[in-house]
Amino acid sequence: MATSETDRVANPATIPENGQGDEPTIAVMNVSKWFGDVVSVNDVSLEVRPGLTGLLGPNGAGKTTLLRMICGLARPSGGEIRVLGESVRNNPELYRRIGVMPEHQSTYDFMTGRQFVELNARLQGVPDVREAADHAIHQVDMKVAEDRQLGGYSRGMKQRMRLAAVMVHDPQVLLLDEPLSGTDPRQRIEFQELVVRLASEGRTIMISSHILEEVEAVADRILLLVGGKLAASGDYHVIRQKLSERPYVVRVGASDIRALAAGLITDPSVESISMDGEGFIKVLSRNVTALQIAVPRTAQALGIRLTRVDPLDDSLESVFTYLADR
Amino acid sequence: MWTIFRLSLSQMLRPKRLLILLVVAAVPVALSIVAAITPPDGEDLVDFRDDVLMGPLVIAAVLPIITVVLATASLGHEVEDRTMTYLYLKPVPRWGIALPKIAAAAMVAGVVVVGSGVLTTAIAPEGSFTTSAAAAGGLAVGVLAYTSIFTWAGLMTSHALALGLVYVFVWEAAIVGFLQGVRWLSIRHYTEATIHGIDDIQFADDAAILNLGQALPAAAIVFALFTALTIRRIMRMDVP
Repeated sequence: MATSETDRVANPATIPENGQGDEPTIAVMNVSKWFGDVVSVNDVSLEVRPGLTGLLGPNGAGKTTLLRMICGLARPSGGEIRVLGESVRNNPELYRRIGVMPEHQSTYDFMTGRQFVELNARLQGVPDVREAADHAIHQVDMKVAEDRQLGGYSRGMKQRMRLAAVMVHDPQVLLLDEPLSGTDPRQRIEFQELVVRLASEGRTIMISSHILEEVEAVADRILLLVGGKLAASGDYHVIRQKLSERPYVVRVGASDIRALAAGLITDPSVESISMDGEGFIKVLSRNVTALQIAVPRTAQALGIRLTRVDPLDDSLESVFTYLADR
Repeated sequence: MWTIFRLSLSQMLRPKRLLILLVVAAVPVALSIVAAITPPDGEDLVDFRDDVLMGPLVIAAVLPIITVVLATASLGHEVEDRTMTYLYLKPVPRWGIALPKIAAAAMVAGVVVVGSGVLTTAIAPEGSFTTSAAAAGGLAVGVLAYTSIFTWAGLMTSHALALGLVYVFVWEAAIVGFLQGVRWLSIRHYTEATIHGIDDIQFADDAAILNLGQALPAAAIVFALFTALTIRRIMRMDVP
């Protein structure tokens, strides 16, 4: 489903050269990418403005491919992408204003963290390399490990040093692909505070993730990609509301399933009940919280022993697919 | 450009790899020392130098092996290790990525290979300044041509090293040996022709196909062509 917002894609001719004004920072227009017979991104149109935008979707949804096209690493098979009003592919000067943190964890492992950040600063043409590196490393709280080789870092430490390298030239646009991968809870909170602050300074930050809660904590707006298509976009809370209305199926086993079914069917949280042929009942509900209370309460009231309560079809993919079908 | 050049040098000068390359380069030098101490009996010493030390060892083995290993890794490892993104996502023109990479590979290979060739010819029997200068000039031409080809190959395929060894040991060593007309497509023969052009005593028997005036422009064309192809590839590729 493409929302009206996603349909409101900028006409490239109206985007000023500097990408300022009311025009989006990132404009993706009917972009597709295929690899042989496999379509990875299918006719996606979207726009991203200053602030924090989450790119959400299950693994294999096309998030990384889309981000790679937005930052110019991959060439779209069709469509057009403009960042800050300019075409990004083979436009290296644009990278002075963009910072990209790819999904993979590769670094020059023989370098120390500081050397790596300074390398990125030099390649960006930063005037005072040492000062810029100091500032960036301080921002990710890695000062204490800056002189250790990257090869000896934990996954989370490497992520933070990579983030420092991405921010070392103080870019206007940050594209971060799964940036919280490998970080511990404390680092996540620090990272979230950092990106919220960077966004509040007027930057455009796009963060991809397959974990809803990661995006929930920081993004004002999300883009939901499922099966290579833009399934939804807009305010996070609106989409979260849709999620809470999602039908939810629970398989229940009990010492007397017929009596339990008769008791549950009268509960307002239950929409329908069916037998599954294996001695269990399947309870359909649109109010998960109420159902979680109703099942044990009814069983207790009827003197029935519960033997099994399994949520069915609760994978992240099914959540995304539900939203995509709405 | 200087930053990428220095980065490339530090990648290539990792101790383990460098040690292996230096051992390869030391083989003909060691043999020339042995030959200088105990000259082979009943053999023309110039022929021995050309046909045993310089031809089969330095030009046909040390030169291509060291250069192909370094050149294929130069950009190829950046792609394989997925560190190419750190170069690509910078305000650096694409030729500013390709040229320092080629230059760094050529410089390291050049120092090792030319050093090996110069020492071999200087130490071996019948050595002279002209002989060593010829070896240096010819090997430098070979290094530049091989480097440009195999830097490009490293971007095109993850099997560039194997491809390079097939080119060296099947095409140049076997096929070109039988079909002399295709020496135009052999870097090894540009190298030999350049050495012969500077010092006409060396490789006198093999010099009939190419001369210096042909070998140098041919090597220059190869270098320019494959450098341009490398830049073009960087501009067009999907960077992993």
